[in-house]
Amino acid sequence: MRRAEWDEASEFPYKQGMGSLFCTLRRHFRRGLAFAGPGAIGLGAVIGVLLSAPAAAQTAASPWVDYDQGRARLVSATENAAGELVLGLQYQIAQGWEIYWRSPGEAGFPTTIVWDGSDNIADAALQWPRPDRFEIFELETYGYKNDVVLPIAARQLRSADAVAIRAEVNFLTCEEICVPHTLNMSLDLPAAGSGRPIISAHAPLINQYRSLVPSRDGGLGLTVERAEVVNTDDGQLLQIVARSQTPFVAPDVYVEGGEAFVFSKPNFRLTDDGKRAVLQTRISRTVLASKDAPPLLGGDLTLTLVDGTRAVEQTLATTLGQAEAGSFLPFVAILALAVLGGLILNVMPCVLPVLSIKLLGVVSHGGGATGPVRRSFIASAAGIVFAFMVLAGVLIALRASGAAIGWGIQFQQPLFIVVMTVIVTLFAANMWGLFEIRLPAWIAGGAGRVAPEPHGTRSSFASGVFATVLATPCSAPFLGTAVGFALARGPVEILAIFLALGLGMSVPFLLVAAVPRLATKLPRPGRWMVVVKNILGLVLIGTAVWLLSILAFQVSPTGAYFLAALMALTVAVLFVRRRLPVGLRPFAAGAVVLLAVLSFATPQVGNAVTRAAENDDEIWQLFDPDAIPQLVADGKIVFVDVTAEWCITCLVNKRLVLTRGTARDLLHDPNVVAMRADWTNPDERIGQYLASFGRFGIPFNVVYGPVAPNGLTLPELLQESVVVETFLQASGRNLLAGGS
Amino acid sequence: MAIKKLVWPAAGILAAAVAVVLFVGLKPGSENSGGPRIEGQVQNFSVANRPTEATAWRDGQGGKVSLADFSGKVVMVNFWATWCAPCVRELPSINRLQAELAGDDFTVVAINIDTGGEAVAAPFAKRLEIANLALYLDPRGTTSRSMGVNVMPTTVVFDRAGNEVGRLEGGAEWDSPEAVALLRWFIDNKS
Repeated sequence: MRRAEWDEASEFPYKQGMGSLFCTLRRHFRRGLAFAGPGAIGLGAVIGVLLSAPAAAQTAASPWVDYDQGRARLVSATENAAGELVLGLQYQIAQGWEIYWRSPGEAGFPTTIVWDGSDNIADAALQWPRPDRFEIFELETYGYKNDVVLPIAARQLRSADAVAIRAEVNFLTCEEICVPHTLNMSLDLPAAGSGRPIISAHAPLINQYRSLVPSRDGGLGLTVERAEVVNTDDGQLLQIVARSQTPFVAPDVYVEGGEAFVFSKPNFRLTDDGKRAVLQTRISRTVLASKDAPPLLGGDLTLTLVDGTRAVEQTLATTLGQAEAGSFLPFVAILALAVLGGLILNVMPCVLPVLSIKLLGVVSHGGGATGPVRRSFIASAAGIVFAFMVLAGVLIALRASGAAIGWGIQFQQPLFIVVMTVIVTLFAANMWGLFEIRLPAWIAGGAGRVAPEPHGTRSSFASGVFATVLATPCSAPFLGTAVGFALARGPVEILAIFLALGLGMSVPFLLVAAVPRLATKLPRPGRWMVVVKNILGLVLIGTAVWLLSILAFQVSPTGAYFLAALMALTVAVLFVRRRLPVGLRPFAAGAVVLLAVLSFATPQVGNAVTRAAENDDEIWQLFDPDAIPQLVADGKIVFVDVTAEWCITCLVNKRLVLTRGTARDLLHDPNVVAMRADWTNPDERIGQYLASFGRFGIPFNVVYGPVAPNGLTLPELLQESVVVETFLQASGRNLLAGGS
Repeated sequence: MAIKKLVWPAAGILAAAVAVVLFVGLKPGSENSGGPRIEGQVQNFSVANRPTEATAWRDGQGGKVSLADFSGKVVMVNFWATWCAPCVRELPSINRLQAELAGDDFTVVAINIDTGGEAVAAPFAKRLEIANLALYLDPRGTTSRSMGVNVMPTTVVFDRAGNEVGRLEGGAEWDSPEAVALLRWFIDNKS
């Protein structure tokens, strides 16, 4: 059972388990490629590493020490020693072998280093990147496989002298057998003296793994709220409630402190749009547990909460809690919820018009033969299911490529929302009888042209697809639970649950197909139809307004107003058009087309205005990495913001942190130089700059200062306190005291 | 003509078949070799015949113990540690083996190599319910090193004279029929 889970994990990175660490890195890399265009950045980074590697292998690294199941060496992020030392113990582990985390789980022991014989080095401390779970002989263990670097923070004692590092590295590696090893490594670093530290070729790698060390200050927008012991009918559960500023992907938690207990991989459930996670794991005593071990309840636990690439560490006391209601349903129940959620989607504002229009289409044709009606509704149902399957496929592919996924991701694309708004508005105009032109067949299917000819089936199919696309941003009761469950698991679950959603949503269509009289026996078209159509038109306008509100958040309120104005104008033109002489009407039609085309400019308009209004453009200089050393030497503090239009998190950082409060004041300080690198389009220099920090994705922010000439990187999701703290660190003094 | 063309391929196939038969026939552990039968749980057991240089270890009370103390018996020395998952996995089967096979001709000696010594090993052994196995300790790893052990678990079998007759690196179900048969072979054939 567990083994099957591993296998999936290695294929799909968001799953915890074997190879996940490796996948995390691969994901970083892929993301870089995907965002920056495959050519420039990826190749540039690779070439950069290749060029610098041979020389650096001699310096800043000990020789590799081979052991039977791999090899290891010490690496340094700097070629010389200048105070703080950033080192790493780099392992390349043979396939299948594990080394252990600081808490090994039920068996194993972590790497320890004895520094005897070292000179001029102090306070050496191993840091632990987030581990993965492995099961060895039914014992739960935490550790690393394949390649890993354990970062080491240390300090040079006397700045004038070289540093001699002598490390006796003790560690255990296990597969089906365990082999303890003791390896001796030595690394010498010359003193930088009054010179500056020289970054070595190993710096990116060490930094990569440093970024995987769980943060202790919650700077990643990830916090554990409660750790509770819950008594249930079949034993105790540990229940952990966590929050995230951005939706969770697949949270996992490693528990330390209850030595007598073992906690397997928790189940989790997401609520609040995926921003709140409840994790539950069964509490069982380990074979190691002594009977007089302290009880779990009331004791302190250290929790390492991991989600995607983020990991935080928190220590808190356990309390007695109640099990979260409705949690952790079996798969069948989730499938049932998915069917129900799909069904309810039909009456949500975004889809209701589609179903209603379809029914009206039947009515307007005055009922008629049941055969075509039946065929048409079955085709629509098929279209719905088809669209859900395509959606599932896309989500699976995106997930495999490491993108953050969720329900309705296409609604992150402003242009998509614009197109939807235009279509919905035209629909409304159509309902109000403002315009007679038939829409293209693929859309008109939605308007219910249930023609008796065969291609009516095709357009009905298209209308089903359309209904699904419209439905995606709409959350319905139960839908969130089902989709959250699916996305947190494997492709099979995603397919199954999306199939269930599709079937659920097509139930009304199938119902009509089964009993066509439901549609054909509606009253003959008449005055009532006009009223109903007018109401539906209003509902559609409501949908358009809702789409605009999304747009306002995604792009900017200005962009939304722009589009709203265009749409109002469109409706007005259509209204006037009917009163124009016939000869002039084509001009009106042309105007409508023009307005529709213009609406595609909405994202640009929105962005342009946003830039002017929100970005404090005047303070931002063009990105010029070569100028940074001189600026720092002049006593300036340099803030670099690598951003891009497609980067949602960058936008969040901009809106919530950089243009507000103390962070804004800091950026306006005369002593601060703010540089912005726009990575919207591939740019080799920016890509290489990122790679030099071991990053392949953005948002990316760095603060340079007299104390930090090489820059201090900030977490991806900015927080005011962290930004301020980093500024202070980089400046080595209290900037605000004398400034604003 | 056509037949001549087939001669060489046929000869080749024949030669390959002979090679396979020879290889299978001579494989150590098969019945023909005259040694013990090595299969199943103990298929990785490697037969040896060498005098031991094993140093002494300690019992739970701190007393020195060595192979000489078991002279006259076939001795199965198993090295284990609390941090070693495969060791923890196989210990219960070794405990059952001891119950089944121990006597005048045979005993198991399970030596813990945790650096924490008795304080770590004793409570662990108690909870693992392996009461048939006396607690022996080698916290500095001197005994295990003297026996050339660098993989955990390793199980070394000695004949009645204290010569090593073979070892298994890795875990096994030691009370499985094939493991018991292997040990019985040494009991019966090594006087």
